[in-house]
Order: sequence, then structure tokens, then C-alpha cells
Amino acid sequence: MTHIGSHGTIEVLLVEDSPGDVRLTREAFRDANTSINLHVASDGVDAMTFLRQEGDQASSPRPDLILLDLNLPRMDGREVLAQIKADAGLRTIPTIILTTSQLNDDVVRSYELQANSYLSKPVQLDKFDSLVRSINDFWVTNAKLPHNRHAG
Amino acid sequence: MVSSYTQLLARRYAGQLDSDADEFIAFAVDGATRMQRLIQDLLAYSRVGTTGGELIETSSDAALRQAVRNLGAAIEESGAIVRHAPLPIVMADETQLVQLFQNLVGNAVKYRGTRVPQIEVSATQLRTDGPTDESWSFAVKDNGLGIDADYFERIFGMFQRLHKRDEFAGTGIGLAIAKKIVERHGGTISVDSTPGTGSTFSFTLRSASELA
Repeated sequence: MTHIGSHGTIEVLLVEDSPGDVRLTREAFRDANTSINLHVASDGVDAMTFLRQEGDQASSPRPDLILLDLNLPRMDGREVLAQIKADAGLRTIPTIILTTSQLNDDVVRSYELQANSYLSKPVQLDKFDSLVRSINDFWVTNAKLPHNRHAG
Repeated sequence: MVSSYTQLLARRYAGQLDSDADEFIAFAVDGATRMQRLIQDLLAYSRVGTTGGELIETSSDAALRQAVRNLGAAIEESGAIVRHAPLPIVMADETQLVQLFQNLVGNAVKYRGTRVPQIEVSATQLRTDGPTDESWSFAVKDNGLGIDADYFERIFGMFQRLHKRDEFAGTGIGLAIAKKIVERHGGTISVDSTPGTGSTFSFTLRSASELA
């Protein structure tokens, strides 16, 4: 199947400020695919530090996939998305918006900023689990992801 | 309802089920509390427009004192000292002016650093060129955490927070409410700040003394 990163693990960065949602997402991914290593940044500033491998995040792995909430404290998801897609070293990482917002304006804006896809978090737990499984099926199992290339 | 029953679950079963259950219950209790606060704050925001009264001559001095009384527990707990210069009579809805002061002074107390909060409220008169009413520019100055200049405008938006949930509780609506109140009064609100030193929130209100 898709063999990405060292030791066959898939590195996923989840940018999400709600600890409750983080826990649910972690549980859902654990059920979907045990080769996924989920990293969490709880606001936009921490997300960029992780992605740029700065400061105490210097040894953080380059994620194969980014799941990004829109409404975050300090720097919100829209800004994170814009920064990722403006950065030659980061923009090839598929960035999926995963948010409670269903506003059309948010959807349009996200695609304008080159989000790879926009997913609305279901309120029902079983639908949420099913959504995470489908993220895994599409992006990890089926889609070809660009191989790790270190930012030049 | 949701809040009460999750808390009842926590009270009765905490420590009796496994650690996952304890964590899930904690998330549920926290979520229910946050939802309640969100609903209250959204209602407050909505009511600024719908239940706002006529603007009449109002003592901003009295409004500040009322706000400080309302903040009693928070002020006592933090040892905060709130001082103010003489404050003018302005055109305002008293309830909303109290709410405005309460939000700003409350924030000054809440977002404190390690120092005892020192808050100063003052007002300077602004003169306009035309024959229109004069205005007052109020300042609520604190010695708290301060705010990075990048966020000066953002913080007045809805649900905008600068801190994580485990750092400070809050819905991110307080300053949006403050802004809505000020704008309903025909004024403007802004902030200046130095991280580590403190912040000064400024807003304008129309003076009660009309020029003939």
C-alpha cells in the first residue's frame, strides 16, 4: 500500500484547539489505521512552528497530511492555510479543512486558498468515525501522496 | 439539563469506572459548561441591539462604580485596584454602559500577569471642528499580559480568542459585545498595548452637553 515516511508510519498533523475533539479524532484514527501517527497543534502559531520545524519543534516530522480546523485561537485556520500554500516547502502537503463550520463563505474561501478538500465535522459520533475512516481510505490508502522532500 | 446530568454522572461515577470513562465524562461536563456560556454570551450580544434603550444623559462615573460592584468577587480574589479620574456625563444607555465597563475592567482583571492588577479609568474631552456635540475619549488602562499588535483588530471579532482553553476560559465574544455597544452609541473602540506591560482600551462616547 502507501509506504510513506520511515518505518511505514504516516504522519498526520491535526490542528485543533478542542481537547475533546482531539481525543475523538485520535480514537477514530486509531480504529481506522494503526500506522497513523497523529500530531496535534492547538493553535495556528503552534501549527506553523511544527511545520517549519522551528525552536523546540526542530525535530518534528514533516506531515504527510494536515487536518486543519478553521476556528483557532491566535492565528486561525484560514491564515494557517494561506501560509502553508504560500510556502514552497509546505504547499505540497495535502491540507484538509476539518471544521464545524458549514458556512458557504468558509468553503469558498478555503478552496480559494487552495485547500485540498473541505470536510464538515458531523455531530453524530458514528458519522464522525465513518468520516475519519473515509479520510483514511481516500488520502492514505488510495491517493498517492508526494514523497518526503525536505524543504529546500 | 445536559450540564446538570453530566455533572451528576461525574459526581456519582468518577473514579468508579475506568480512566477513559473519567476522561469522557470530564469532556462532557466541560463541553456542556462551554455551551451554556456560549448561549449566554450570544444572547447578550444579540440583546445589545434588541433591548438597547434610548441614549440619555448618563453618569459614566456611576456606571463604572456599578460595573466594579458587579465584578466584586473577581476583583477581591485578584486584589485588583481600580482607580478612576473624574468621569463625565455622557449620552448613553446606562445598562449598556455598565456592561461595557464590566467587560473591559473584567478583562483587565482576568488577563493579568503575575503583578497585582492596577486598572485606571480616565476620560479626555475631544473637540470636533463643526457645531456638533463634543465627545469624550475613555481609557481603561491595565498592567496585565498585554496584546501583540498583530491582534489589535482581530480581538474585537466574534469568537476571537488569543489563548488556549486551558489557559483562560472564555467564549471570545466579550470584546465583540463591547464593540457593538460602543458603535450603538456612535463611538469607536480600539486598543493599544505592549506585551508584558499592559493594555489600554479606548472608546469614545458623545458628551451630554449639546452646543446650541
